[in-house]
Amino acid sequence: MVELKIGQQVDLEFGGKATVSDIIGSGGQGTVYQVDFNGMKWALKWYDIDKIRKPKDFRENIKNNIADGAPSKRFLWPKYLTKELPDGSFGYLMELKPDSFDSFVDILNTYKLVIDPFTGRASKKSVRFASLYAMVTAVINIVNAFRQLHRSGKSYQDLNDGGFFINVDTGAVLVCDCDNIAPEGSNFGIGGKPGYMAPEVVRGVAKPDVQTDKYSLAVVLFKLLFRGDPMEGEKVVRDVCLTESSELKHYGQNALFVYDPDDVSNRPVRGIHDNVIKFWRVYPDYIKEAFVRSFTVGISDPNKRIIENEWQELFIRLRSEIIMCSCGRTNFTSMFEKPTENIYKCPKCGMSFPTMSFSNSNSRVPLYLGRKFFECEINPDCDDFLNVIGELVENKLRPGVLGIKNCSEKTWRVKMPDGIFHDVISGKGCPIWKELEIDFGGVRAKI
Amino acid sequence: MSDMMNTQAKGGFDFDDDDPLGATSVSKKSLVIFFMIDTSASMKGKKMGELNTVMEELIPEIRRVGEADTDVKIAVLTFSTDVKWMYSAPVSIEEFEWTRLNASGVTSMGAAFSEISSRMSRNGFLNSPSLSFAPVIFLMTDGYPSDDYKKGLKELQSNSWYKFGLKAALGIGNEANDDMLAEFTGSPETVVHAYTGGQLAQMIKIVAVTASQIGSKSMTLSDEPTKELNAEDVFAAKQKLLGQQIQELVTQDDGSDVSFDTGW
Repeated sequence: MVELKIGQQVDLEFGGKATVSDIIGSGGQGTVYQVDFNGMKWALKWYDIDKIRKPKDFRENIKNNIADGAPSKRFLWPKYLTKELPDGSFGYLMELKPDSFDSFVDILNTYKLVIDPFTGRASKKSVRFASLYAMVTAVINIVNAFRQLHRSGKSYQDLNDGGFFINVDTGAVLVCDCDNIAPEGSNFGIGGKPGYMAPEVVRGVAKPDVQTDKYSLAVVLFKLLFRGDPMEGEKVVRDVCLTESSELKHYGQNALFVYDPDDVSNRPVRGIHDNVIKFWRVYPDYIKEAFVRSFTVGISDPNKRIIENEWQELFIRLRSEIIMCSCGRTNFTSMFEKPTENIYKCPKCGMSFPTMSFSNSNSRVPLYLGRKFFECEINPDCDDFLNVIGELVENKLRPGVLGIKNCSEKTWRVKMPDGIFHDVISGKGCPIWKELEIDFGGVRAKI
Repeated sequence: MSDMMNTQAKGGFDFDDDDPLGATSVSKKSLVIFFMIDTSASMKGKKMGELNTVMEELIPEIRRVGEADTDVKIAVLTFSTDVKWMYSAPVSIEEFEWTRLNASGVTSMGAAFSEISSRMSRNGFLNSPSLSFAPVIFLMTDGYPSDDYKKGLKELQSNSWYKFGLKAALGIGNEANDDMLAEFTGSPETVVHAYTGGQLAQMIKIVAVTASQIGSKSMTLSDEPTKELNAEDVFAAKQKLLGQQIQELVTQDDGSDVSFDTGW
């Protein structure tokens, strides 16, 4: 292995030199350095070439990925290859992760260790989502990133908790470690991490591909929402010591979901898996059913695994069912009382929330001050889950009157309290009343 | 009881404890790293000084290695005429502080094997309620045992934590017997030897860091599948990997400074 030294220069394939300025971290395949190149700071991933099985093919694959470009802005994608050293060692440059993003591992731990540059002392700093909204947005972003990757005909191969950075304030996501991403059907010898790997990969009967990515994605989503391992329950804990053969058994041969409806032998254990026990009560049935499917029939039949598009729809719905009550309680509608079909009530303060139905969906979404409506909710052909097209606000001239403001470019047709449909152009709004109907131009919504 | 009625009165929602953001840290797997250190009289002087220094420096390095999803703990057992634990229980790597060791007495290695075996149990030092990885056991010695080490080793070999654990040993100077150390680790690949102060520091770091890296992670069971794996295929896979990696790293170093046993 050739380790780089601070101050060392590395030749890039298409000219120029990068100068090593710091070490960022090391992993299974090599080390990541901070380098200066063309007056900017970059990250350099430098391979321990002995740990790469087919270095020539591996390098060629990265070269192709650089040429193809990232599937979207959510990837910290390889940008420039370095020249090879005489022993074959090489690396590639990518953009540095912005400071505002935290690693998935730190999010699962709920803290990170921050080292004081002067004293060298480590202290714990809390890492938590600023809002439920940001958390569900992060989930949608992760799902969408993998949807884009798979649509480009490639698979990630070793999806695990080291593969993401998330901005806990906004839910923005960056997918990193993109160097094992390969076209469907290719594999450069990466196995993955038990617990994240699909059972057939753990067992040694399949190689990583798009189908095994789907399994790993379900694990990542489960860990982010339920804060525990989907396969680690009573059956696994009874083994006490996690040896190589018990990993093969519990994540491969006899993987059993902790909430398998037909087998209770691996339920979460109180005192160890408290998060999973608590959050399994909180999430609505359609989310739980998707995980049950992923981790029961989806274990043995890769074709039954949830596809990214389906996850995306489920989580867009979940985000639309968040209620932020003025008393401070924020939760999903599944955790609010439902005195009548069209009303949710806060169990803590008693506040009522009317709901709206959309012509393209069977569920009713709650209305509350500050609620945002997204492009994907009013446009069935649209994937855009970040662009806000409407917001529930208080009328500035008539305090206490709530309404929906048109933040889109389009004109809506709205049934006003006079019983007649009026045009509501961009920047205008309509009051919420009991017979409110909005035609967004295709999708219709009503109270 | 009143709590329950309260909850029911409000529609069955236990709203004090249902915040989807109110998560605690995911349950971590734990790993205990055992250091078994010879503190007999022959270790006195430069060897002990070197060892104390490198161990102090090593702790922050292991702290970085122990991945964030594994809770790494350290237990140090010293043996000379008596066997002694540095702390009464394993200490988390985040809080661990090295206490400098002194050397005197004879080499009761057999007694040390029995002692470690008696503590490597669910009721002893490996009492984490959640899952544990098999422990790392790193033995360092500069001489031949002065007691019946075979008896102690036999006891240890019947301990299943030992069987699945990662074993490595460092022989220091010309007196240490690598064959005997390989009996402890189970294979010559996980035995290294240091003849000089520079080598001693280097070997301790290589072995301790590599072992904790491998020990604190799940094993990549198969990366070139040819057939369905079974339990025998993966048995002691980590120990084999440790041997390979130690050998790779050790052969890269050709320390050429002065031998421990010369020039006194």
